Amino acid sequence: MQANAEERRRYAALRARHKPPLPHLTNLTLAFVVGGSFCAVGQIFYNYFAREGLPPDEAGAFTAVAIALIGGVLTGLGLYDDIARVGGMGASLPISGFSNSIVAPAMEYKREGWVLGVGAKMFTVAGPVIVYGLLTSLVVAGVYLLGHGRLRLPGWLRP
Amino acid sequence: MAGGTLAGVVTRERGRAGAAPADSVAGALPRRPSMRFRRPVPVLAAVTVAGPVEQAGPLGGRFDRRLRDHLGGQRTWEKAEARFQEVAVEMAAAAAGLRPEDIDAVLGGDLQSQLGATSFAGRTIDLPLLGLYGACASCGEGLLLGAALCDAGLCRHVVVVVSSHHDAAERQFRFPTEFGTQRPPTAQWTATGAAAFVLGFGDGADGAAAEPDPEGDGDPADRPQRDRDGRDGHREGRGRGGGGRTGSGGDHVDGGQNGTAPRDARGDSAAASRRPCIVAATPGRVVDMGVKDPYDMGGAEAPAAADTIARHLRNRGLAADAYAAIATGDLARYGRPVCEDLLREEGFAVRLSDCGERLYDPTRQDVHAGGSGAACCGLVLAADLLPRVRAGEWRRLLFVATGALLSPTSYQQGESIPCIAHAVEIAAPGEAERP
Repeated sequence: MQANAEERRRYAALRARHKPPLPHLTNLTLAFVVGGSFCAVGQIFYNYFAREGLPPDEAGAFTAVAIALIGGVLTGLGLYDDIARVGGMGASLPISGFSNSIVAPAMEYKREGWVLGVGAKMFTVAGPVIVYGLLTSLVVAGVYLLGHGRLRLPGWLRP
Repeated sequence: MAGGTLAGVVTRERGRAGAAPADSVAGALPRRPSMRFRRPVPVLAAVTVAGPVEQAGPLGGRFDRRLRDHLGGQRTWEKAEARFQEVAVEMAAAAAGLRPEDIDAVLGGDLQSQLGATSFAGRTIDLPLLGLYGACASCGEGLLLGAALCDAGLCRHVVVVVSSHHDAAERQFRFPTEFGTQRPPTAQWTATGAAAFVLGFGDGADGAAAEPDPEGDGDPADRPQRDRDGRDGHREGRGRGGGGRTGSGGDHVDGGQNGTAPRDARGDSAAASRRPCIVAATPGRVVDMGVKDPYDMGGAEAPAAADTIARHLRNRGLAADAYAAIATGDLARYGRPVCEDLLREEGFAVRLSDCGERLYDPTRQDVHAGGSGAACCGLVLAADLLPRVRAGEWRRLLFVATGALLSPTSYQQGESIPCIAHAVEIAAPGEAERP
C-alpha cells in the first residue's frame, strides 16, 4: 500500500502531533559549552606556540594540527562519539570533529583490510566535506581575485 | 482535526486507492484472511542471548545468555552476531530437549546485508536453513511460517532464530560507530542479541515427540488425533511416549532421542502443560505512508502495524479486550501513540504495549525513543511476553513484529520507507482450544 500525496500529508500531520520537539535550548547550550571548550584549548595551544616565537599564521596552523590530533586520539579512545552525542555541532564543527570523521571510519573498516577497508572507506564521511570545501574555496578565490582586478575574464565572458 | 482523518487509509485494500471513495468497493473485494492454524502450535522453548546494553535494561536478569561485550570473543561484530545465532539455536534445542536430528528446519533472520549472520551461523548449525528478511519484523515472519510448517505436518520441529547487532547495523545503515553525531529524540537503539524459538508438536518434555512416526510425518490426517493424545496425557506422557517408541522401534530419529535429551527438560512436565501456543497469524503487507526519516522508524512503521492489527482483529472476530496484550515490535515511544491513533480511527480502541519500550529503561539508558532491530522484539517476546503467557498471567497475546524495509541505498536515493508488520496470536494452552 503506497499512500498518495494527500494521505502522506494527513499522515505527516498525525505524526507531527506525537513527534517530540527537538530540545533546541539544551542542544544550543551544550554545543556552546563543548565547542567553546575546544576553542579554549585551542587558544591555550595558540598562546603557547606564539610565546615560543611562531608567527601568527604558523601558530594558527600548528593549533589546528594540535586540535585535530586531540580529536583523533579521543576518537581512538572511544570518547569522541560520546562527546559529540552531547555536544552536537559543538563537537562536529571544530577541526577535531573533522579528524573524528576520518579516524572513525579508519578504525571501523580496518577489519576489511588496509586497501579495501581503511584506504577506501577512510573518507566516506569527510570526503564530501573536502570535495565541496575545495570547490567553494576555488569559487571564493576566483571572486576575490576578480574583485581585486588580479584576474581578467576572457573577452567572450565579459558583459 | 488538523490534517483530516486517516480512517480506511492504512487498511485500504487493492483497488481502493486514489480518488475512489474509501467505502465504494468495500465488500466487493475479498478480505485477505488471517491464518487460523488447525491445531495450536506449541512454542516448546524460547531462549535469548543478550548484549550488555540489553542486560542493563529492565529485563536484564531474565536473559539466558549474557554477553560481557559486543564482540563475544569474535574478531568482528558480524561474526559475533552469527555466533549469537549459533548459541541461541543450540540452547533452544537443548531447552526443548531436542537433538539436531529432531529439527527439520531453521528459519533465521537478521539485519546484515545478504542475511550475513543467518548464513554464516548456518555453516555451524548445519540444519536445513530458510533465511528470512523482514527487517525487524523477521521474528513475526519466522514464527508465522514456522507454525504453518508444523501445522501442515511438513516439519516436526522448527527453530525460529532472529538476531541483530547494534554496531553491525549502525555501520551498515548509518555511520561508523565511533563517528560523533547527535541523534534526534525519535532515533532508536538497535538491540544486540539473538532470540530462538522452538515450535513443534511434542518433544522430550511431554513425550509427544518421542512418539514414533514411521510414516515420516507425511500424514496430516492422523496428526490432530496424536496431538490431542499427547496433550491429554501430559502428566504421564513420558511413559506413554516411551512405550510407543519401544513398540514401533522403526523411527531412528525419534528413537535416538531416548535418554539423550537433557533430563531437566524431560522431567518438567508441569511446565510442559503450560506451553504457549500459536493459534493464528496475519501476514503483513507493505505499507508506505511516505515517511523518509530514517531516524523515525517508529513513525514509519506505525501504519503497517495498524493495518495488520486491524485486519487481524476484524478477521478473527474477537473483541480487542480478548487479548491480554497487543505487543508491537519496535514502534517505540513516539510510534506507538501514532499507531494507537490510527487504530482508533479504524474503530479499535486498544492500548498497545511496545517491545521497543520494554527492552530499555529510557530514564537510565541513552537509547532515545527505545529499542529496535530484529532481536528487539525477539528478546522481549522470549524473556518477558511468553513467560507471562506461560505463567497464566496472560491468556491471549497478539504479537505484532514491525519492520522498516529500507536499505542504505534506498535511503540515499531519496525513497520513502516501506514498512511491514506480521501478527502472531499466542494463547495459553487452555485458551488455545477456543476459537
